[in-house]
Amino acid sequence: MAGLQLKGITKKFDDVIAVAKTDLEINDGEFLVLVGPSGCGKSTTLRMIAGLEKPTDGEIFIGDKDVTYLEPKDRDIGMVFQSYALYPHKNVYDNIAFGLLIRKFPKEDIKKRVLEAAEMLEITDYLDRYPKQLSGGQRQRVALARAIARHAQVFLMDEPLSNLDAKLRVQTRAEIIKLHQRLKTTFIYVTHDQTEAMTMGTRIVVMKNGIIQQIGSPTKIYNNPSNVFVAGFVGSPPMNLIQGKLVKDKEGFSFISTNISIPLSLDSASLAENKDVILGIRPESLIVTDVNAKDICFTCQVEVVEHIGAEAIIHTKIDNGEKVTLKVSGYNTLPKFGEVIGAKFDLGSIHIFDKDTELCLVSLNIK
Amino acid sequence: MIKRGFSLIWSFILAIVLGVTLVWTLFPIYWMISTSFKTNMDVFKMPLDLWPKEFTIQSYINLITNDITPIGKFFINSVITSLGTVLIAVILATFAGYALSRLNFKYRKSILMGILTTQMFPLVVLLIPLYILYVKTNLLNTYTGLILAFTSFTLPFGIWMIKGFVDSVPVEIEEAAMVDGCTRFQSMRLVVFPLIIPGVVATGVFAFLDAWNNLLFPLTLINEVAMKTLPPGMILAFGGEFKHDWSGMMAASVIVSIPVIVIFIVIQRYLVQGLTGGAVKG
Repeated sequence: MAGLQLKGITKKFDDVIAVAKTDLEINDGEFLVLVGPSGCGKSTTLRMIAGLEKPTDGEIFIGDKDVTYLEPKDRDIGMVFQSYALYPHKNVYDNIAFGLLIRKFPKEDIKKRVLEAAEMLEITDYLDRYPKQLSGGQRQRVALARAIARHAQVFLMDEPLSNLDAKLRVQTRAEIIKLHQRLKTTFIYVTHDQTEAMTMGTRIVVMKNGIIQQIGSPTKIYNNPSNVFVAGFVGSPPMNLIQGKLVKDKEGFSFISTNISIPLSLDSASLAENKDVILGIRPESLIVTDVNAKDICFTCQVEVVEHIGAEAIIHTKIDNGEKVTLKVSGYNTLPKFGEVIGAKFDLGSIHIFDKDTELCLVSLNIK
Repeated sequence: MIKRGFSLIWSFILAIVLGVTLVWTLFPIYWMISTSFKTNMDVFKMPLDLWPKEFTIQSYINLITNDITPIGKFFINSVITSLGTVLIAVILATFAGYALSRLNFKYRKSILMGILTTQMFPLVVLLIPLYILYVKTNLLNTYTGLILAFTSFTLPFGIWMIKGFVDSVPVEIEEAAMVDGCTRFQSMRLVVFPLIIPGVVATGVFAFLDAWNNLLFPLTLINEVAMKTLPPGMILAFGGEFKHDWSGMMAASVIVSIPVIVIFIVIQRYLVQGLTGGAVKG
């Protein structure tokens, strides 16, 4: 078991910068999730940690050891690939045992470890089978067993669930979390799925265009997104982002847009009058109200209503053409297509982002 | 009813097409076997007999007892040069194909195209320069010289074939092997090689057939009788300006074909996999 350190790690492919100068410290035993849209550099970062890509610049430490220029085999890592990458010509037992065999473990030791890993992932019944005789979920378990059988210091996972169907994904997700709790080893997990990131990580690193946008616990990332990108990326459906201006009166600043006026009742040094800003509010922080209600924040026209069991997502359009989404729970009467409804803030936070730098200026709790 | 009638006609057409193709392909072989059992008088008789009127195995007896033209020696020469070619071509093609598929180095594409370009020259064009080269390097009338010539001729195809097979092995499998503790060479030997065996076998078979059937190289580069391989040897033994021992030549052909047929029967399974496997990314 060991922590990890990336110091100014950079990767360029010809002229394209895949990962810009990045510093990252990963604690021993942590479940760190790298998340971001495709092409954000998350996989490249993971592959540099694995030693499958050589960094253009910077250093990588596993524990106290500088591994920047070591071969993958000398780094003591286990890795799970998106495509499982099982050895098609070896049966399940030999797939799991291969790494131990190469490292010249004694035979009894290999058997013990293979069986232990197989038991942990409940694949003991398939040890004689070949990869092509297994289902996708079973293959992924074999890949996980292969990674853990060696008791490596760090486990790297590159989108291990994205080839599985939805139900199996949720199930395997829970199993990986359990596995982490049991092994207490450092896990570094790459995904483009923010739900996976939120549910699995003890800490999340949000990346975009090779640059880390924010590092923090799932709650922190969700409640205090550091910029517009993080705000829009994390959460399902994503945060509503409405463009407008700040106006100041004696009660403090207010947010003004075409037909929206929201008193923020706060004075902060980071705010300035007449500044172009973006207001961020999560769909679940809005509730449907009567158009004539006093405490209404704005009115909007319903475009689509999506039912998802106990909840419904209402997609609407406000006067200036911007889209606003509301997430309502319960089986209340839902508005119909074309209907004009009122929206007001419920529990949650409002975030004010600078329109130019896209950075979060202030987050404040409602009520 | 209409459908059934249609499928009957279809089956009938299919049977005819298959039959014609089969006769077209197998008749020469039948003719070879049948001629080998004819007397030399019968061979030139008009109209031709489909089956020997006078069935004789004299040609086969001549083949064994004849000591002027040592068919046995030709056979051994063919075996040595063909197997030598197979061994060298397979090893070189495997490494080169792997490197050209997996490693990223300068001029990789140009090298690949260069290798392909060599296949565009007809063999005959290369014979005279090769002969001069061999005279200067004392490679005439040697197994080494012949094996080198065969190998250079068969290698480009082998490299492309193996490259295709390695391409079809996902890179992640090798990456997994390297994370598991393999060096590049180990991952090639223990993970990639077992997966491309059909390709290696197919390459080997092609190299063998190229060498076994090649007439022009041994005809030009070998002029000592004792060093000749079967194809030029048989021309020497049974053909010539004033003699045409067709039944003798056919008897020899039958004997020569047997090892090739045996090889095909044994490795047919791999070969079919090999011919299709590389292309469809099985």
